[in-house]
Amino acid sequence: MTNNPILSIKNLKVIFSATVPGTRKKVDARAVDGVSLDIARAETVALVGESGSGKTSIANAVMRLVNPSAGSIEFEGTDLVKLSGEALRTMRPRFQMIFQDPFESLDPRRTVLDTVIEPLIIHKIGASDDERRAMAITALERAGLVPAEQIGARFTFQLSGGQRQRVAIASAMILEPALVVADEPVSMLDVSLRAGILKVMRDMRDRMGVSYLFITHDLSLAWMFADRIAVVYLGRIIEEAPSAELIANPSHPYTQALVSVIPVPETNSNRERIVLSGEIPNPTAIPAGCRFHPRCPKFRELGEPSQCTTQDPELHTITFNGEGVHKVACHFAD
Amino acid sequence: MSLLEISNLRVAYDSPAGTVMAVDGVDFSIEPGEFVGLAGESGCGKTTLAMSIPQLLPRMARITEGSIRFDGQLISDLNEEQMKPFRWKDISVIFQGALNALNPVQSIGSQIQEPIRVHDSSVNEVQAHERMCDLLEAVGIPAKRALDYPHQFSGGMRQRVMIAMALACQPKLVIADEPITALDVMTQAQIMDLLRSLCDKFDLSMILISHDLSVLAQTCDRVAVMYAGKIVETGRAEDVFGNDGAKSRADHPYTQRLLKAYPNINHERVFIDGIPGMPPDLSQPQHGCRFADRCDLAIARCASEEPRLSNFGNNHQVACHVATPPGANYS
Repeated sequence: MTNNPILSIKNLKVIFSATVPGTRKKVDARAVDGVSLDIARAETVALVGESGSGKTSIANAVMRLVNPSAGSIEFEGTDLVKLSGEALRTMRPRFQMIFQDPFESLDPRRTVLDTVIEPLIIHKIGASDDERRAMAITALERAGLVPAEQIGARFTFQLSGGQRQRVAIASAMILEPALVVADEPVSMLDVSLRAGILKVMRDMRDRMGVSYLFITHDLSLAWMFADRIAVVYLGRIIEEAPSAELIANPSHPYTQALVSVIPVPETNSNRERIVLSGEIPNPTAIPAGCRFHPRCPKFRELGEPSQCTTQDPELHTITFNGEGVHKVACHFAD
Repeated sequence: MSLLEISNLRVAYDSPAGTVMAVDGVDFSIEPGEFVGLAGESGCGKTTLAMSIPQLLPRMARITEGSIRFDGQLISDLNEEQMKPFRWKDISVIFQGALNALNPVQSIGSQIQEPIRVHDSSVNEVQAHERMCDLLEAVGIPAKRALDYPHQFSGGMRQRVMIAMALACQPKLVIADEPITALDVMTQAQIMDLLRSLCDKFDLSMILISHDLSVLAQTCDRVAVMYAGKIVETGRAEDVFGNDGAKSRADHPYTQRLLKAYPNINHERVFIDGIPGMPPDLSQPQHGCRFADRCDLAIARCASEEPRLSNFGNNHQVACHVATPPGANYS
């Protein structure tokens, strides 16, 4: 499925410098600690993890909003990590981002139409104002903002949260990007509006063949929307598989726990819940060996094998079928 | 006798744009030890309903009609001074956005003791300290951390502190307003398990407000679904959220639509459905069923006649002209 990836991340690291509380000592916070991931054309890959797992840092590194400390991000054959300045700017229309909070990401003093036209002006697309305007109207219509002429004349502060997120989608999509990074695009919205936003995103993928890197903490949403899910824990992908496969057969103990606590709107579901105690550790103090071992139920079940405390498990393929590859980073995966 | 009995409650907000009826004729009761979930989209009146119980509504809100009885006593017409003894000691609240609700320059132990000192004069300082330590242990925080400050705790741990604080004066009823919204999935599971176990351990009644039906389904004894200021469906959790095969037992079209708005990993992997349209403008007088405009099943009667909650058996009540009670014979 990923023979010819549009995006190929290899051994990406993002390291921030942090101060130890109460001292002036500097330590490294390894927010992203060796991540490799491929995304194919028109594929949707979800990065799922708790807050502090590093999923947003991965997204920001791909967008070059933070500078990677190591690794490569090959996008349409070019390593984005090596680009800067003008060279990076000319690539920008090809990869765009949709942010979590449509109340923060749009300028309230602009009209909807101006907001959507702006990327065209910046990247010098369209021969005339009339042409750009026509393109913006089409983009608004595709984002489900109809009548586009009427909504386009409004200011963004006059819109509801769902409408704002559609404006954000329209202004990301108007450049016809090959890749869109969507960071929790529906988590701020009321549940009745989420489906509408996600359907617009799916329609755009079907129409334009855009690929999505979909960042979410909601595993069931990822299962429903993405083709493939990568589970992130403390700066690493610890499991990766086609969505249905990952939920049906989670293999890493962390994924098993996450899947077991997905809330379902039913009372008589007979699933055994695995509620992990404690919280995700600080990226300044990543545990030795397997980074999950201090919280791992399997580690304790197996009598605390030394392998888990000394060897960092590699992400390796456990099954391969027509749907794709199932990879896991655990010494004792099922 | 019910611990809490609300009947025909109406709460209005006076705004420059007119009077908004945020809660518009609600009957609702809670038994001792019962864990009740209150669900609905934002703006449907669930927080207004819950906060009218301890009278913690914003200044522009007022109860225009109806009554609230707590432990047999009419509390809805008490004034501020008369209401004070009920807060913390009988009814306490875990607020939404609790992560920012703690005082950053006061140790958590002292913050938990504060309501005890202020509201429970029968308790001396030593006893208050003891109770605080017990509460910390009960919510899963080692008592030795009592001297730590809020910034030394993660979001989930701070929420535990807020829960300990709400329990400080041994209330009979706790209102939890979206207590897990800003937390991670695993932390959510931890906090929900904690609330449920505290409820059972201390024989508390709890009102849990959440927009997330899945969370309510797995924790509550009973749920009430609100729409546009009214309760449209209420019943035991298994009667509202239970499943007969792949079909949910919810009877109100609004509840059914809400359920379809969430992915369900126990079912087939299908795209979620939204609910088109918007809730009605509650500053305008309402006619007929408030959900009719957004409802696929609406019939002529829905536009003109307001449906009342009718019994579907087992204390399962639904306010819909179209939904039919099990066993009913319609020709």
